[in-house]
Amino acid sequence: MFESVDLSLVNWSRAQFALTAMYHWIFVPLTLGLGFIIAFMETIYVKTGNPEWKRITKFWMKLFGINFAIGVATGIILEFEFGTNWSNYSWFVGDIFGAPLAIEGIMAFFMESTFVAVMFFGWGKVSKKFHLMSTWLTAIGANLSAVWILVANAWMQDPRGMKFNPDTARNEMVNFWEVFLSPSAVTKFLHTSTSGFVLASVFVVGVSAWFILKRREILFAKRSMVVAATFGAVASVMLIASGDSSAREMAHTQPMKFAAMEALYEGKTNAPLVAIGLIGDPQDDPMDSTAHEDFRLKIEIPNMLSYMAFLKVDAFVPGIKDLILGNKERGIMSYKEKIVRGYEAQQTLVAYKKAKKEKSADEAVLRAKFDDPQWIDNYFKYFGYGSYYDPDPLQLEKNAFTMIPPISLTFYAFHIMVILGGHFFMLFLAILWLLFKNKLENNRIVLWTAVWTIPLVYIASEAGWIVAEVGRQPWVIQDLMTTSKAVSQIDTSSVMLTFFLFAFTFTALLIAEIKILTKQIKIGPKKEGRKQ
Amino acid sequence: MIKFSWEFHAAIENYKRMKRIVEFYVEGFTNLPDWARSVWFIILLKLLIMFVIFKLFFFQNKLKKEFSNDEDRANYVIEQITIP
Repeated sequence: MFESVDLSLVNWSRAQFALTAMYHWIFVPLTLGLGFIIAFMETIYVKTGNPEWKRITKFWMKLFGINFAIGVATGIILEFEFGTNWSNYSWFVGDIFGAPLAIEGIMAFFMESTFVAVMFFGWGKVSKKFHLMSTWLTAIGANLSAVWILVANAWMQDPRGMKFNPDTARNEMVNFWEVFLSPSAVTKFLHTSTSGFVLASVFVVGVSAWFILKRREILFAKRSMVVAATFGAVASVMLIASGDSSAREMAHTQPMKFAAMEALYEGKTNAPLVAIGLIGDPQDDPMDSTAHEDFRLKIEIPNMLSYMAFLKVDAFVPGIKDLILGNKERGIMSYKEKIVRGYEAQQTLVAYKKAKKEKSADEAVLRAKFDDPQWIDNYFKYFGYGSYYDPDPLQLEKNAFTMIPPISLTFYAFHIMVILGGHFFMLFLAILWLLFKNKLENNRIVLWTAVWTIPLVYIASEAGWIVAEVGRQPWVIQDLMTTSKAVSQIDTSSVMLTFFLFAFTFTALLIAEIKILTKQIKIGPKKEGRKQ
Repeated sequence: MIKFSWEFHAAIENYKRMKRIVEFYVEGFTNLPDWARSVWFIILLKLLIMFVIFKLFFFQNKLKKEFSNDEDRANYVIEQITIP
């Protein structure tokens, strides 16, 4: 078994980054959504003056505080990794990545640290309205600080608004708004933040269901559920809509990821969407032109994939092989052609550096190419593909087939996310319906389902990031830089050591969070006037 | 004299405002419930591990450490990203 594990530097670096990002993402979405849920609860308290709503708000605020505190600064590790493990990448992206992260850090520090303090220390010391405003600003601040890291991530998936400077080997931002408001950035922010809203809603609904099952704090639990299930149902609609936009955007900017999500090998018109599928035996690795679709089982929705990608039921959706081998009839350039063009761009950069060093007459001509929009569009756009170049055409085609992302993982992560997303929406509707009919208390199946949906929502949330990050391999910056070129040439053993150090630290943090949270949930909301 | 008195008054007001803010935080931290004390202990321990152990011993910026100027860093990165 261990013979098949690739212990290379790039894989350990990827594993390390994936570990830290996934652990970080355990804490973040609950903060994003629970902030708004407690803001709604406190608004009801301020509007009605009913002290029971203050008690409800304070209980969920306590759980928010625990999660916020355990999760805070776990993302800093990712920034450490950029400089140490991904130094080529960090240099290449220049300030495009640095600026949003700096804004995020400043906003998170000033907005959240100020208003979180008022939220927790301010009860009875500041006016009700000022306290409420602080709660709202904490929720808004948490989501706004998420904007910047998501803008940076969206730029990696769909780089735009920048220009490459061959003198510094860095990309420089030329249009902030093109970076900030790119369709990928907008859909990524909406989809990610609404997924946090759904996760937090499931958390509140699940914990409240546990109280009802234990026949404790039933009114408190029902009131919490009304707020959370309503918020969750509305957020689910937004989540589905933003997911739909995200998929359409992806079909244009990252067609390989889109094809991998559906395990679509051959392009099709009237392409169906695989609703449920079980992929057959793994194909040869690396694949070749004989690779083909292989499902043991699948249930399809006719025409849906074509409609999802291009809003036309008869639209052609390119498959993995169309993208690798090209499809002249459909105007799809092959990866082989892109590799040759990317290699040309890379060699131009090498020639320019040489000419500059030797002060040759070619220097100005070569430099001008990096300012020529036509050359950029025809060659530099494919810069990263050049890493797969080989003078032998057969080897070049073999190299092109190594550029396919892991299909099974991308396919299953996407389908798990979508199926569970549907389950959450139905759960919110069922809870609201049963609350309306006053039949929830005795429906133990729905109540236990709500409790057991808590781990499922975390699985769905992580699956979403697996689709986004595994599906875009081999790119760290789409079409411009591969993961293997982004990694720092450092000792593999040091990456392994830090991987296990992180695994230990983050696992300890997660255990601490779960223990403190479960202890406080078991204690339950306290009567007003007692120290919380 | 009038200007001096106005500035003095403003300074006193600022001092009072700052004092209230500091008292707000001090009172908040001194009255922390048990769960919050545990959480603050975890935060401080976590920050210590991250910034003192991880950052100092394991996460130095590779390019800053190995090259003295940006030109050398750029040349190194170009070499790295243009090898097929």
